[in-house]
Amino acid sequence: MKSICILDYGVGNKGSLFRILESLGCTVKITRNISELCSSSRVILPGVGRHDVAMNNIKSLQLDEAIESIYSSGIPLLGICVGMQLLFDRSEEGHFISPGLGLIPGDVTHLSSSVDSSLRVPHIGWNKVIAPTHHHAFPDELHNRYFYFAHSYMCSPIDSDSIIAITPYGVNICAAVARDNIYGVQFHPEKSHAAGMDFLSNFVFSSI
Amino acid sequence: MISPRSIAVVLIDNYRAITSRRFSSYKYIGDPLTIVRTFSDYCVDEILILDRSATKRQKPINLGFISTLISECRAPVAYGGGIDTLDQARNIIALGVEKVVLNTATLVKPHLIPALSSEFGAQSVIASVDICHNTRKGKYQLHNKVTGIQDDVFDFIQRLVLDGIGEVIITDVLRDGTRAGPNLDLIAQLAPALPIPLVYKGGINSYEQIQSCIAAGASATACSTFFSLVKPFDAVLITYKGLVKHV
Repeated sequence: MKSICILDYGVGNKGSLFRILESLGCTVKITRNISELCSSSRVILPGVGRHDVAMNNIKSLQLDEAIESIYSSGIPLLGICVGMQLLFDRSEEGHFISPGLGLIPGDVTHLSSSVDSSLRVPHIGWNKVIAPTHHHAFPDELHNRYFYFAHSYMCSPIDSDSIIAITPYGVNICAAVARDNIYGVQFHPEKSHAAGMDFLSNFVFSSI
Repeated sequence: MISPRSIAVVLIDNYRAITSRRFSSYKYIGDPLTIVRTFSDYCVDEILILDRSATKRQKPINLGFISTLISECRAPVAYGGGIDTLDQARNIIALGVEKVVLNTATLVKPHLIPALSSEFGAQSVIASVDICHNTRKGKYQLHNKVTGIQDDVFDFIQRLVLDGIGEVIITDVLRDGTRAGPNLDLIAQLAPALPIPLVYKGGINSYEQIQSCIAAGASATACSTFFSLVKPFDAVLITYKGLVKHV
């Protein structure tokens, strides 16, 4: 069976993701080697941290080219939390506007400019994820379950068809996106108990 | 809408899990690894691992020990205890910890907060503030035996928010470990003015009390003794009451 690769770009919660994927029966590699990445069955872009710091790491390691190759190859790529935010055109996070990978058109903005001031930011905790669209990356069994979120910024895809799940927090926060072979989730599936395991299991084992 | 959180606390002193009472008397309750695993199996909302001996020990943080604890844990984890450099925080987060918790460092190294927030984002930087009520002055004050600093609680927390923390854990020191009930007045005074989530810790002894903390304005509660000891003989039994149905 082919490996699942976790992209190693110096930030991100690799340890937990690695253990969860192994427990699901996957062969997992943490790597930044292009040939390993492009011969895997799935690539995951983990994420804890800031958008601008993460993008700096990716660029200095020339991993933006590797990610382009993965996109062209058609291998499913999943961005988690900041990993999802990196997929977009740009983010407000950082001292200047931080450019992203540009794989999903849209911007990443601070929650406080969208949610009511009575709601606390960051958005930390368990929130219900709603996905009535029956997308293959977010099937019925995941609809209406709780996932763990910890973020201060939210993604706004230009093409609303790419939004496959939302979570309500004053406004509908984009919880999951999909475009071609690129996927992103704002929550942490590796920390979301059974719901998270089911999401990862579906991403890894279903034909998508 | 987001669900309030019920956080399980694992308090550690020199690699042993303990409960405390008013930050002074400590009771050994077992091996931290087993307790973290048990809470994880209960599908807790979050685990808060606090090492009370780290700052006093003044030795480098034992990353191997933290790594072992995290390897048993599938729940979101916050870790605190002796963190006072950017490198330590980086290493801890790389192990799989969602959030680092600063306590003494908020008083002696305040510049660390904006530095951590700049690198990891506010959601990964938590301040733990220990509070006691000064009956003579009639107000809440900071309690920190290491530094002895006694600032006004509200001003202090507002400064931390401006510095970039994502969440604050407040502990009522006099109620710690007593199971005498939470300080709802403290929550009601602090919560409305804060734009960030507030976690309350100290004295909770029932699920109804957890609910009343949330009703008073807390975004989450954290319990140590309530989830570790059972009456009438204070036998050690790890239990858990959550607020989210993890199905």
